[in-house]
Amino acid sequence: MEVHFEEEGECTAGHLKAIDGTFVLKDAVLLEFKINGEVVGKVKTPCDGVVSFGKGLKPGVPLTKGQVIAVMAECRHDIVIKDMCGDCGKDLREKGGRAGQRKEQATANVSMIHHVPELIVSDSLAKEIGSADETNLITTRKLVLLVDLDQTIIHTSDKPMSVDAEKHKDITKYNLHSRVYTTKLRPHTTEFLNKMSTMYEMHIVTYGQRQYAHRIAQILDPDARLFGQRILSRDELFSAQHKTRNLKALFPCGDNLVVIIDDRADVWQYSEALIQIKPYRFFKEVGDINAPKNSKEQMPIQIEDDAHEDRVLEEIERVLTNIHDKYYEKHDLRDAEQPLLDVKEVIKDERHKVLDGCVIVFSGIVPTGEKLERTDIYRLCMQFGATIVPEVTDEVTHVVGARYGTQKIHQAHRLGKFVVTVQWVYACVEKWMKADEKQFELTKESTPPVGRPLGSKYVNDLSNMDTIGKAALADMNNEVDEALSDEDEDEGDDDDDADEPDRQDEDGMKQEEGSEEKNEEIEGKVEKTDEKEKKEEMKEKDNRGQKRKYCPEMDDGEEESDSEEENDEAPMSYKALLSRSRKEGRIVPETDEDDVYDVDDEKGHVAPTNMEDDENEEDEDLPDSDDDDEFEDMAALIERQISDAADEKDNEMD
Amino acid sequence: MFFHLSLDHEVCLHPKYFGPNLNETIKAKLFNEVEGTCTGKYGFVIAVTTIDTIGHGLIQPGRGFVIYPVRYKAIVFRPFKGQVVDGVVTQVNKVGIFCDIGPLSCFISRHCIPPDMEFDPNSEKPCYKTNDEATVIRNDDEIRVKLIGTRVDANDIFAIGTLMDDFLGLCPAE
Repeated sequence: MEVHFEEEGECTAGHLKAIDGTFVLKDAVLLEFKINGEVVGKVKTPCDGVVSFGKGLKPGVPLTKGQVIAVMAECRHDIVIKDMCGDCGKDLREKGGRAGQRKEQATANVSMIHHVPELIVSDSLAKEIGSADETNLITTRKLVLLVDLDQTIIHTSDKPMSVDAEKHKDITKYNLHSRVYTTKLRPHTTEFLNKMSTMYEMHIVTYGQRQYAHRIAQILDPDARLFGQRILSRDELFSAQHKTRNLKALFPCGDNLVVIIDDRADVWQYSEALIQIKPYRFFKEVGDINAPKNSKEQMPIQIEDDAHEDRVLEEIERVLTNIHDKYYEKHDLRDAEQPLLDVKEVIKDERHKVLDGCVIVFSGIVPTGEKLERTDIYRLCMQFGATIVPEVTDEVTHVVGARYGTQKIHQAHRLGKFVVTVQWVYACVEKWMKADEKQFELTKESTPPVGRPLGSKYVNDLSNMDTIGKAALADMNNEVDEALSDEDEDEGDDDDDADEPDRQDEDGMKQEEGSEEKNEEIEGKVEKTDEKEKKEEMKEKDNRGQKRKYCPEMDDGEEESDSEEENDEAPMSYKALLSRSRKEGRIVPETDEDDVYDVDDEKGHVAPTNMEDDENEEDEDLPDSDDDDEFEDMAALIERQISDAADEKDNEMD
Repeated sequence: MFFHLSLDHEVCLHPKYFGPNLNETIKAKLFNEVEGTCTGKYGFVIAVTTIDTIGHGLIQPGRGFVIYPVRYKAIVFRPFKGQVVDGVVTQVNKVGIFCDIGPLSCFISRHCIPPDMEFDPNSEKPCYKTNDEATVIRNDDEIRVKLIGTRVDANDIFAIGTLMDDFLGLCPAE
């Protein structure tokens, strides 16, 4: 609908009272007009609508009667909240319809404001606002930093506990959803956030609920200076597994300026912009209380000993400062017309510098059957600029080994290369600096990794689980084999204890057979084996379990045989082994698995702590049928562990 | 707009309250249950003024609870399209302003904010302000808003407002 100028006489246009392209209500003033410099009247709209002024209309232009001043158009509904247009106030919802059922098509579909998901704007407006944001960031020389909460800068426990408030001033207790939560800030958090706020526009992106996220923000930032309203919580996240999908809505012009810090890479789908941080744990037995649903968070039993001396944020502060400086350094060298530099490139470059020039060989790190390219450790090393080769050659600079004495490690020693534990890689990754190889040298005394270093969550947990399964499996196999071979011999000549150890060693090489068939075999034969042999078996079994336990990340058969010769630890029972590995935080069996072990324990023949002393008396009391049960229990347990591990791997790959 | 209405409500009472203070208990429960609530039809119940009648209680079969029909008068607030109201700004962002008009939340989109006011993300508190900073709208400021739309749900009302008219916008500080 057109709006015409109706006045007679020598009129000139005065101020335009509406903006081109916006919605105005009926009877709103569009234009003032003047005669001889005096404002004498106003032009009003006859209806609601979006104004588009006639061409060339600006203050001072002469107006003639009948001239088209503006064209009124329908509202485009660019901003919609609760199915109402924010511009014209029109109800877009069908009568009696539910939320989202619109009778009229609106262009709005981007949720731009973090904590108001029901407020949506159109693509074009989102782009406009986004580019204004971008310009604003560039002119204030800032980047965007998305900050995760749980285990990145804080650790929260939802279990009641008594904390010495004097000792830890940065612990806050509060009620939420009628539960008591306790939150501990990571050391250096306040300084870190304050420093970062000068270089980054910070946003909270967390899997915690809205109230929780806002409560934490209040603790971190009581004046709302650091984060303001930029808090994105579980309630606003589009996906239950990933945080990446919200980026498009928050930054409609692209994520070129976005840097992310988080303790988990999977939720960001291993984005290049992510700077992964070693998870922070302070409270005992509490993991991430807000972990995404599909991932089974494993609870550690011990707190990290260095929770108080955690210096990760100081390192990250240095890294982020460096990235910011480098980005603007490069940005200043570019022409104004060129598209924005992607901060991901800068991050990539900086990351690459860390292990640049390192040629790494893994020894005993990647579990058998696992593709090297798919492991976290491989991904980390590649991201940080190292080259991975399969064999030790002259170019190799570092050999990363899980335990001493593999062929590759001997080779490396011969060639005078660095032989380091896997912690060396994690240390480099955590600090974004090449760590001192001396501190991480792999020696005979080196123990396998304890706890869960950065980024290694799945590799470590899974390989540990596998190993237990495998070790037990191998033991089962050995026992069966022994039982079988012993039996054969029994038929021929009566007994020969002397050559038994040799045979068992050979048997030790045979591994990995289906536990089911083994079970069947056992049922038939075990009863016949005589008591002495059983004792031997059990000793052997304990021994072997022990050995396996100490090399959690099996690589290939050759190395396994190596380790068996080297390892001369005292025999240890399953029970002891289990509790030990639990202490080290490497496995956390389900409760029912626990029960299985307890049952065995009560029977008293799988887990006696010291077999040598009292084995004779004990064994005589045992009825054979118990053995069968025990084997069945074990087999079931092993199967479950393997399938669990496989499930988890599958999940991860999804 | 405010109205003084006669309304009905049913109070459900546990038998343990049957005694000399029965009427007081019913009144207390009524205040508790209706004040501050919102019905799409009548709007927000601000305050109960008088209780006209408390009807005969009806014992619920099988439960022992008693339902008393109560007729009362109350002041209600029902926003209408086109109404001009005063509100307090609760949130300012790049898409618009949120404000509270008593119990009613209202959103004012950036297109409904006078064109001479621009969003400034860099100030201490985000705000909309004119170039000469003569008018600044930020959190906790009082603004006069004209409602251009209301969303009436079964138990909530939400409004859309505009500042694009004469005498709307920041209320001068007293």
